[in-house]
Amino acid sequence: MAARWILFFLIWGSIGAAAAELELYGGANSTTYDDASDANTAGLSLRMQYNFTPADDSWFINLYAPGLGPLASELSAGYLWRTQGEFFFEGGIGGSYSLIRGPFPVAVAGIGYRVTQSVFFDFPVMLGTALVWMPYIGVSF
Amino acid sequence: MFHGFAHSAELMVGALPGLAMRGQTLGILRLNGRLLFGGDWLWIGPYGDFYSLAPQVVDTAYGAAFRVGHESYFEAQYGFYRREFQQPGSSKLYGKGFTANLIYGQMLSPHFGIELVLAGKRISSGTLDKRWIVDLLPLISIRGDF
Repeated sequence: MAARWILFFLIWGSIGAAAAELELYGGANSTTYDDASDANTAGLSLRMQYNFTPADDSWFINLYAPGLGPLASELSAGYLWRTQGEFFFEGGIGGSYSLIRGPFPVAVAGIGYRVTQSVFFDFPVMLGTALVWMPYIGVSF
Repeated sequence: MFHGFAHSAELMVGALPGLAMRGQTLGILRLNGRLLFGGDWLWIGPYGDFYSLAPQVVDTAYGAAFRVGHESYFEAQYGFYRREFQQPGSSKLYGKGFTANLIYGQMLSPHFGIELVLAGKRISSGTLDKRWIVDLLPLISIRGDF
């Protein structure tokens, strides 16, 4: 269900604006034991943010899927204010929802660095039911 | 044109910092540093890897790295691997073995880039259970030539 909403907003955003930003970070891991196959684990985690306006103040949608299944995933939306330039500061507010915790407010603050005109690193702190600071690799298109 | 080895050197670090606070503080830090010597497209040198992936778990590794390419590159690393596991109030457990990393990297500017690291780790001795660990992780890379 969450994936449908994300797709809807991505298409809607792409129609409404010729340019946008996509920020991503994810990883995968697995552990296989020699003598305890019941304890084997595998996981895939993903953080993704879609900004409707590149390199400027923007509405955003954020998906945090920590690899523990859809119950632990969080879908957020809000508005982000950013400074201009190679190094930028940002701050934002919005709302979030997860199947475990229900709806809750979120606040975002962070710094970023534009390596090229189209690629940037983003280090936002997201405060919701937890405080999370993780990097994103972003692309403006 | 190939100019041979050791006509320049570089220090490079691939990094992943992270922090999560929900009940307990979970800090994540991965640093993969290497000192490479080489020419236009062939580089070789030592590397070291530190990965604190949970408050109780720290992975360290060191060994040799071999790279083909410079702006876009593939790199292979192979080395000794050690995992330490400790919970409050219990003794420290450890596992030793080897690790191999395959890296694809792309520099976005002379000093900043991104890397995708596929790591295979084997714990074959120590007080931790024997196991294979595989992880795939992007890193932000910082490079300095001298």
